Amino acid sequence: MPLLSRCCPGHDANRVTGKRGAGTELEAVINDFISRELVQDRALLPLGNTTSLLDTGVLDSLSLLRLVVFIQERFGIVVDDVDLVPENFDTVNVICACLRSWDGKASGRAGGHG
Amino acid sequence: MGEAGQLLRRAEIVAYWLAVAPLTARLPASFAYGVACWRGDQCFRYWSAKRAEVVHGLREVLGEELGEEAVQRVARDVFRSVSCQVIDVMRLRGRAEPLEKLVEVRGREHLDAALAGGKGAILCSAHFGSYVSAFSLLHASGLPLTTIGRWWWNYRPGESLAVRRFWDVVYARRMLRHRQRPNIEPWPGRVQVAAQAAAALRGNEVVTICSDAAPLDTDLTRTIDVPFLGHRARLLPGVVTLARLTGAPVLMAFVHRLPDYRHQVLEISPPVPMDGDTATAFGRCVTAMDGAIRASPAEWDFWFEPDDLASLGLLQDARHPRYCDELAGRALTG
Repeated sequence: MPLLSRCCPGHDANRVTGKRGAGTELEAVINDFISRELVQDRALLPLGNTTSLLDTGVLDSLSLLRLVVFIQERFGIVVDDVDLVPENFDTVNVICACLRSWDGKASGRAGGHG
Repeated sequence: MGEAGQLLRRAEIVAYWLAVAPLTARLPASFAYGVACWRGDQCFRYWSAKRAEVVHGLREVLGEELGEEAVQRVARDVFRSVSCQVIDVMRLRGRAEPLEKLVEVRGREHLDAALAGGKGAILCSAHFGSYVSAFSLLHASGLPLTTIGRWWWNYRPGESLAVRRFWDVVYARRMLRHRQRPNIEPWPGRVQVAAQAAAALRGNEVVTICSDAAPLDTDLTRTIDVPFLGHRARLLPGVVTLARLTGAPVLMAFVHRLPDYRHQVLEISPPVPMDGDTATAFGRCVTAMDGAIRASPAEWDFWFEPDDLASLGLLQDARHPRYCDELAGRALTG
């Protein structure tokens, strides 16, 4: 089972992994965390899923680390060094797309061993 | 300093890094560091513009407690210290044995105990003494170690390719031989820096950070005002945030040179408590930096960097603009 689904108990796996509809559950979780914990300029709220977090200054070095830690704790996904590039964290939608991709890889590896 | 003087200064620096220091570093340590001190004395004597900057910074920041005679003596020692640091870099050849036998490490057991916790360890230091070479020694002794720090020649706009290549060859290459990962370089737009450091810590490695770094303009909103060297300074408490997010313990580390100029002691503290609010926790780190610098003021690199003193809020203005060559100081402070 994909990690994202396991970490969102009770949620529709297809909805979370985006196989059906817009996959808004994951976007909502990420958007909520960033809005609550990382956005300093309240004028940016409500935060759009396509708003650039880099251009608006929402993400700096330490806030990205907080986001990475949140992702690890909430979804159990450890972001690889090679994936730690600004382009992967530019918007909520991009982050979620990457999360699904990383989750798929992790699930594949887990399945391969299991 | 006129154009001819600048050229002469640059030529001397290039000759020292490329020929004099590499050669003398292979000779007995007492001779090598003796040459370095002599060179430091000559720079102090003839490089009047830089001497004026150093003296000005010392007077403004520590003048009240040092007195004029001590200011002059410390200023001369600053030049000696900077010269000796080049010899340290050159003695990192091989597995760094030539330098290792001159440096006593105290408190290594604290670092080993911290790593036994499995969350890595953060070594917090200052731009003080031969800190970069000391970190290299730790890596050479078997500790996986990575440094957070900026190498200025990579970022200064308009810097010539020749200058970049020069510092890469004489300095960066020697350092990177003794690092677990490439240097982690904080700079605007490089938002992945803290996460890269966290990845190293997750691998139970050692990450070093100098918490006295002058904040960039883009970082000013994240600084906090702390008491430092008798003034209020603007410093970035990133070490505290990194420690709290990763669970890695923070240990202070300072290397200082003994009176014979060739032997050094690297002291590593037990973990610094990270409880309390950010300012309180960071204040403990700043107090340790303050103590190390006051105990051996000549070894703080920032006397060579009046702009950095001003950025920290320790100097009202650098007063002495950079009409003199910037190469020497910047290169040594990394």
